[in-house]
Amino acid sequence: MKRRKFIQSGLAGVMAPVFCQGLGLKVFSASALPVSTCDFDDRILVILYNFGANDIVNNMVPITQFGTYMGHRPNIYLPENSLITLDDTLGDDQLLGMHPSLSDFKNHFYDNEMLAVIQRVGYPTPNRSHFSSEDIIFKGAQGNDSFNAIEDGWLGRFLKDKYPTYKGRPFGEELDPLGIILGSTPNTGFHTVDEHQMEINLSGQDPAGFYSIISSLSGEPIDQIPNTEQGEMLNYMSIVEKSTQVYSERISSVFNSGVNNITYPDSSLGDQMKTIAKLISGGSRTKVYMARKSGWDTHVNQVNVGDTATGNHANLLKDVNDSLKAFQDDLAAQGLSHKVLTVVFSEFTRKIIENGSYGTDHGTVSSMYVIGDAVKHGVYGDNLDLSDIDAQGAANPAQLANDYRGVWSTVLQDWLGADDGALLNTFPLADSTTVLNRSELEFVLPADAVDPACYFEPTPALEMTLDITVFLEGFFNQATGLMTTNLRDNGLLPTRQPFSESRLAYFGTEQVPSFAEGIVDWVLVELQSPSGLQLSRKAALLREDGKVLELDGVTMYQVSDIYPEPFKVAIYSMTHLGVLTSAEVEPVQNGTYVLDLSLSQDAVEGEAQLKNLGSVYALIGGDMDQNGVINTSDYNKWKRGTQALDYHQVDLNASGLPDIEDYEIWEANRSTFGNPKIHKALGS
Amino acid sequence: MASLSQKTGNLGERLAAHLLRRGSYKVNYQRIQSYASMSAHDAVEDLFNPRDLLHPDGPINWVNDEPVFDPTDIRGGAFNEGDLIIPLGQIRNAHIKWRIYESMNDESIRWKITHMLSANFVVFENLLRNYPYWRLLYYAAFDSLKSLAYKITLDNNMLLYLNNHQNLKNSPNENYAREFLELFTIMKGEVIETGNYTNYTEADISAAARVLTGFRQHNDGYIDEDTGFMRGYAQFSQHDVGDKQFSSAFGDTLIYGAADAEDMYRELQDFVDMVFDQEETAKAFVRKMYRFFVSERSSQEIEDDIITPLAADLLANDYEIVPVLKKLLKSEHFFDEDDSDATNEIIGGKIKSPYELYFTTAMACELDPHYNEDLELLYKSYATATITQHLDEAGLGSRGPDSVEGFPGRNDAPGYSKYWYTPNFLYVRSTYGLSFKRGRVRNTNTVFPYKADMVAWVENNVDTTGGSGTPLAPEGAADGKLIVESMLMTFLPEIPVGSRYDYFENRLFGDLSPINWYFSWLEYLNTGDDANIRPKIEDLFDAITSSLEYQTF
Repeated sequence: MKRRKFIQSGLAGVMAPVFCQGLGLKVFSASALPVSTCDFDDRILVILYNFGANDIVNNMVPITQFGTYMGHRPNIYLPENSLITLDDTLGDDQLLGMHPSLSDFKNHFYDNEMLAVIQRVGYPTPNRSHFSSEDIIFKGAQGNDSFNAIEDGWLGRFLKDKYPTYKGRPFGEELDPLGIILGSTPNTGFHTVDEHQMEINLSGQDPAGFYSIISSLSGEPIDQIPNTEQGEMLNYMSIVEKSTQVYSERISSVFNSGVNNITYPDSSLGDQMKTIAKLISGGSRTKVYMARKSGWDTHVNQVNVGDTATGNHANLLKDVNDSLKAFQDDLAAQGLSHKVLTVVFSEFTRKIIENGSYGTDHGTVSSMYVIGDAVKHGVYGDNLDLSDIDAQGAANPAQLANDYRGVWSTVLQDWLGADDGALLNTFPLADSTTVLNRSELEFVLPADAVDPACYFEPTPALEMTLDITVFLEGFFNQATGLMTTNLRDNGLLPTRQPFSESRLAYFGTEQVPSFAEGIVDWVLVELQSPSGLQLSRKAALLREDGKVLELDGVTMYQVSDIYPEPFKVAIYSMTHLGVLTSAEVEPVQNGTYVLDLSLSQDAVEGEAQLKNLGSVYALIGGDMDQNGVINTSDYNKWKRGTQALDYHQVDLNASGLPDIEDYEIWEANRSTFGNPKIHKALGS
Repeated sequence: MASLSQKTGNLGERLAAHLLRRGSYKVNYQRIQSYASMSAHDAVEDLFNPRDLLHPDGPINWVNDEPVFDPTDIRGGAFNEGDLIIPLGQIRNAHIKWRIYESMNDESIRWKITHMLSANFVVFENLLRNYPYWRLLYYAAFDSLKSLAYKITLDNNMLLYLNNHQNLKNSPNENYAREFLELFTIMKGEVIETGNYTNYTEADISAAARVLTGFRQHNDGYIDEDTGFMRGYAQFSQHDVGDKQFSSAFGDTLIYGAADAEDMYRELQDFVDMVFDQEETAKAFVRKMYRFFVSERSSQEIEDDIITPLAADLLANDYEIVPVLKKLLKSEHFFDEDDSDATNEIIGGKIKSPYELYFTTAMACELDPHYNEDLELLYKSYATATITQHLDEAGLGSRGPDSVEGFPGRNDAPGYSKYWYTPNFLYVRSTYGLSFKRGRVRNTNTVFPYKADMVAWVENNVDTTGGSGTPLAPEGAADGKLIVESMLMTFLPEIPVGSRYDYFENRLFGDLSPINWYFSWLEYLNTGDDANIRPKIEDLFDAITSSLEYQTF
C-alpha cells in the first residue's frame, strides 16, 4: 500500500489515532480530532513563481530509475550519493532523492510534515514557450484553447467571485490590497475584466516609505477623460494611482508595525519573503502574495562540470530552500505559520534529456510543492517515467496526471473556502471533473480544510433608498417655497450629466431624453466611508421641492452595488459649495433613510456649511470651480462667462446668464471655505 | 474603415507634434512649428532623412572626447579587455551614455526604429559585445529585417545570450532556434495539437537548432561586411551536416546540410529565407511596427485594412523597413483622419516608456546635454549614474530586460505600454519633471545632469508681444494664454479643454486676475527681474509634468 493512500484512509475515520502515532502526523488527541474548520477568514496564500522553468528532475530524482536518469543526463546527473532520500517508506514509483541544495525540503519541511509534493502536474496540451505557458497557467487555460483571447487571470476571477463589491479600495474588514506582487513584473493571474486593480506591485522602494512618497505626489486629479485611446490610458492610470494612494498608508503602517525574527538570505527572493513575513506580522490581511524568482532557464552550464551537485541550478535551489526555510521559521516564531500556505511552481519543467551544453531545454510535465502547517505531507502522484519521452526528449505529455487547476482548486477550496460554484467560475475552461473530483489531491489536512458548511458566500451588495432633501441658494424662491425650474423650462439643462466638465471629475454616463416636470438641476451624490474613502458616485436630478431623484424624475435616490457598511453622503452641484452629511447612514438592505438638509445647520459637517434662507437651509452659492472655496478664481470665471443663454457653470440663480445677481451671491459668500474632507476626497 | 491613403494638406501643430513624438525623441517647439507647415509626405520624408551620428566612432570618454574603443579593434581586430582605453567598469557608462545622447539628439526616426528592433531581437548587456550589437540594429533600422535576422544570428552578443555558441552538432541547444521562431520572427500561432503551434512545430525547432549548430562567438577577424563590425563565425567541425526537414508549416521544405564552413552561411540563409517567405512572418513584423509606432489596440478592421496590405508591401520590398513604415506614418489612419469615430483616436494613446519620458523631456526643454558646472565630476560620478538610475527605477533597465521576451511595457499582451505605469513606478514617473526643474534628483541634493530654464524657454519660443514689442492686451490674458498654449502644445499630446485647461492656466495666473500676470510679465520684459514670473512659469511646468496627460504620447 502506498503511503499516501494509507494516510487518506487513516484520516477518514476511526483508525486515525493509530496512524497518527505510526506516521507521526501532527499531534492532536483522538477525542479532539477536528474534522474541518470554519475559521479561515484571515488565511493567506503565498505563491512563489519560479519563472524560466525549474528543472524538476534535478530537484527530485526518481531513485529507482537512476540508470535511466544517468543515461539521459550523462553530464549533468546528480551523483546518487549526493541525493537526500525524501522518505524511504514510499513505494518504488514514488521514491525520491532530493537535490542536496533542497536539504530543508526534506529535513525541515517534509520531516516536520509541512511539505506536499504534487507529481506530474501540467495542462492538457503543453506549450514550451515560457511566455505562452505562463499565460496559460495564470489564465486557467489548458493549452489547446485560444488563451491569448482570455483577458483575465484565475486569481482575479477568484477574488472577484469572493468580493463582488470590491471597488479597488478598502472595504469592511479588508483594509489591505487583496493581492500584492513583489517586484515590478506584472502578472496576468490578477487581471480582471473590470476596471479595479486587484493587486499592488511593491518594489524599488522600501514599503516603510511607500506612503510618504506616494502621498507626496502633487498632480491634481484629471477631471476630463476623453473617450479616445488616450482616454483609455488616462483612465487606467487614474485607477492605478487611486489604488496605490488608497492603500499606500496602510501598507507602510502594516509594514512598520511588523517584525522579522529570522535572518534571511541576502538575495532578491530572501528580501521578497522577508517583506511578506513582515507585512503578515504587521497584521496584513492581503489574501494572495506573489513572489518571483527568475534565472531557471538553464540551457547552459546548469551544473559545474565534474561536480554536478554544485553550479547554477544548485545555487537557485539553495536560495529557494534557504528563503522559504527562513520565511517559515519567521512565521512560526511569531505564531503566524498556521495562517499561511505557500505554493511553489514553474510554467513547465525541462526536458528529461540533457542538451550537451551542460544544460537542458524546454520540457513538459512538472511538479509543484505545497508548504505549510496545514499541509498533509506526502507525495501525490507517481514519479515521471523517465523512459517515456517524446521525440524531443521531454516527458511524454501523456504522463500528465494532475491538472494544475485541480491543485489550485484544492488550495482555493480547502484552504480559502471556495465552494464548487466559485471553483467553476474561477476555472471556466476546465473540465468540471478536473476541478471538482480531486480525491487524489487532498493535501490539506482534514482538520485544517474548510468545512463545506462554511464555504464563503459573497456578501451581497447593499441596495437601499435615500430620501434626500436639499435646496440651492439663488434657486430658492421664498414666496413659493420651491426652487426655480427656469433652466429646465427654457431647455438649458444638459441632457447628459455635466460633472465631467468640472473639477469634480465624474465621468458617469447618466443621460435623460427629457426632464420630468419640476426638475431644477443636476446634482452629484457621493457616498463616503466614515474614514473618508469614496464609495460610490452617481449623478441625480434635483426637484423644485428639494428631493434628489433618479433619472426618471420620480424614484428617490437608490444606493446599489456597494459593500454594506456605514457611510456618509456628500452632495455637490455645479455652482454651489458641496456638503457632507453629519449623520452616518447605517446600511439596511432594501430600507429607506431620510436625509433632510433643509432643516438645520447640523445636518452637515463643519461650521456654517449651509445658508439660512429663513424658511430653509440651502447649499451656499459661489464655488463655481469646485475647489472648495469661494474666492477670486470663481469671480474670474464668472467674469469670463459669455453673455448667452446657456447652462453656465457660473449661474448661481438659474437665470441662464452670468448676471449681477450671481455676482451679488458670490460677493456675499466670498471667502467661505467648504468642508476639506470632501474636497480632499475629490477624485480619490 | 482604417485607411492607408496618404494624408493630404499641411499637418498643423497638433499633427506635427504627434508625428514627431511617435517618430523621434527630439520633439521641441521649433521642430513642431517647422513640421506644422509641411505635408505629411514632406514631414515623414524629413524624418527618414539620415543624420550623422554625433559620435560615429562610438562611446567617448566625456572628459577628453576620446573614443573609448580603438576603432580598428572593435571593427575586427582582436578585441578583448586588454584593448580597452578605459577600465571595463567605465565602458558600460560610456556606452549607455552614448546610446542615450545619440537617441535623444537624433532628428531622424532611426534611433526609434533601432529601439523597436532591440525590443524584438532582445539581448542582455554584454560589456565587450554590446556596441557592435547596437551598431547592427542601427544599421538595420534603415535596411532589411530579413538581413538583420541573418546578421543577428551571427552577432557575438546574441550567440552568447541565447546559447547558440554552445549549439553543437552532437549536443544541440535549441534555445536560440526556439526564440528565433517564437519571438523574433514568425511568432507562435494557435496550438493545433501538442507541439504544433500552427506557424511551426516542435520538430521544426529541432530542425532549426540543427541548422544553427556550429555558429560560434569570436572576437577576432570576422567582420560583417555591411556594418564593418566584428561578428561570430561558422565552425564546420561543430555543424550538423545532415539535411533538415521542416514541417508542412514551411511547405515541407528540405534544407540541405552544408558541405563546408562557407556553405554553412548558405544554409543559414536558406533557413532565414524559408522563414521570411511566410506571410505570417511579414504580418508579425507589421503588427509589431504598428504597436510600436501607432496603437496597441487590435481589431479585425486593423488586420484587414492595415496589417495585411502592409505585410504584402513588406514581402514585396524584401523586408525593407523604410518604405513600409513611411507609408504607415503618412497615412490618414496614423493621423486619425480615416474616420470620424473619436473613440479610436490614437493621438496620446500610448503610455511613454522611460525613454520617451526622459528623452523627450530633455529635448522639449531644450537642454544642453553637456550641462553641468563641472563636466568631469558629472561624467565620473553623477551623470550616467543618475540617467541610468532613472531608467532602471522606471523599469527600463539600461542593461536589458529580465527575459528574452523583453520589457513588459513593450512586448507583453494585453497591457503593453500600460505596464510602464504600475504602482511601483508611479513615483519615479511622476517626479521626472521635478528633477529637470531643480537640476537635482527629485527632492535630493544629488546632481542631475540637466536643469531646465523654463523662463528662457518661454523667451526663446513664445513671442508674447505678437511682434509689437509690448505684451498683448491684458484683457483675456492674451499674453499668458500664448505661454500656456505653447507649453501645453509642446509637452502634452492634446491641449486640454474646459476646466482642465483652466486648471493649467490658473497655475500661471495663480488664482489672481490676468491683469496681475500682465503687469508682472511687463515688468520682467522691462527689467529682466524674473522674481514674480519664474515661480508661476515653473508652477505651470510642474503641473504639466506631473499630470497624467504628460505620461501619454
